[in-house]
Amino acid sequence: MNCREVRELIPWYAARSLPPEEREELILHLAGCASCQAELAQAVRLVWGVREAVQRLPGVPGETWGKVLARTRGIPVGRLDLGSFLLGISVGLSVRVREGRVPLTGELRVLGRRVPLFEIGGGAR
Amino acid sequence: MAEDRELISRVAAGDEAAFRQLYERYGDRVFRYALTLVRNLHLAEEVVQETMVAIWRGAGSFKGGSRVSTWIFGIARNQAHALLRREVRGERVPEESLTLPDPAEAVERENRVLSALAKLPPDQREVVVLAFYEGLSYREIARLLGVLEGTVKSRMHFAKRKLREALT
Repeated sequence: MNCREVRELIPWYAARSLPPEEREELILHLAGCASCQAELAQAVRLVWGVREAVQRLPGVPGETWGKVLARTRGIPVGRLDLGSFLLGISVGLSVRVREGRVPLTGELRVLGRRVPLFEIGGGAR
Repeated sequence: MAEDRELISRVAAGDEAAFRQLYERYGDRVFRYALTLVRNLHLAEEVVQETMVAIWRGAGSFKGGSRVSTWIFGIARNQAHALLRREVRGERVPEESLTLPDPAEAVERENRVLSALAKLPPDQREVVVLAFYEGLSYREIARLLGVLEGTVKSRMHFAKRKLREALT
């Protein structure tokens, strides 16, 4: 690799996403090239600068999950569970409101793990 | 902690807890990526909603040919562009523009980086965010954007030069 080829790959190396085969060649070049080492130092600073700056942008609003849930799983309006706490197994029926529909859902819970059994009246997922 | 692929297969089976975990893992990241594309808080939130709904409905179609993150950002990108197309057609008007954090409270360098990022052409900004913030490789970005790897490298080259000029 020459300096031009190495410099094209340096941002990706600095971001730790360069494929191994290219990474090895790049490291070999870097070991003997002071100007590409300086370029790498600048790129690393840039990667961290961008990472920290983007991290400071606002995150997703708190109410968004509720909106997503209402459009996917639906808002629960009723639920009936039958089972054994000791055995860690239960069968549940739940009714939800989802985008104008009221699907009835059945599920099995085994040791806290939920296994969907059926859904009636929910339309296409 | 469950792997992304395990979460996706559980979401495909209708597991709400897995869906919530996936949302907690990706909600902020998709929101920030969407912000760099649509530059509007309300639209970015819509992108997150649409992306999560698409994941819920399409988790079963994830074939595993790419990382889950690449798949999710691909969905978010499509949703962002669909929303922007709707805007161009005049179906809605953005209510507010993306505002950078309050300079009085922010670290000066971070503000300078955000300002420099905001001035980049959108295609270059997107590559920088996906590469530096999300850690996607140029191959993954090329696949996600549907462009040649050389195009991704070229966008990075010009973006890096502009960012360096703006930050020195």
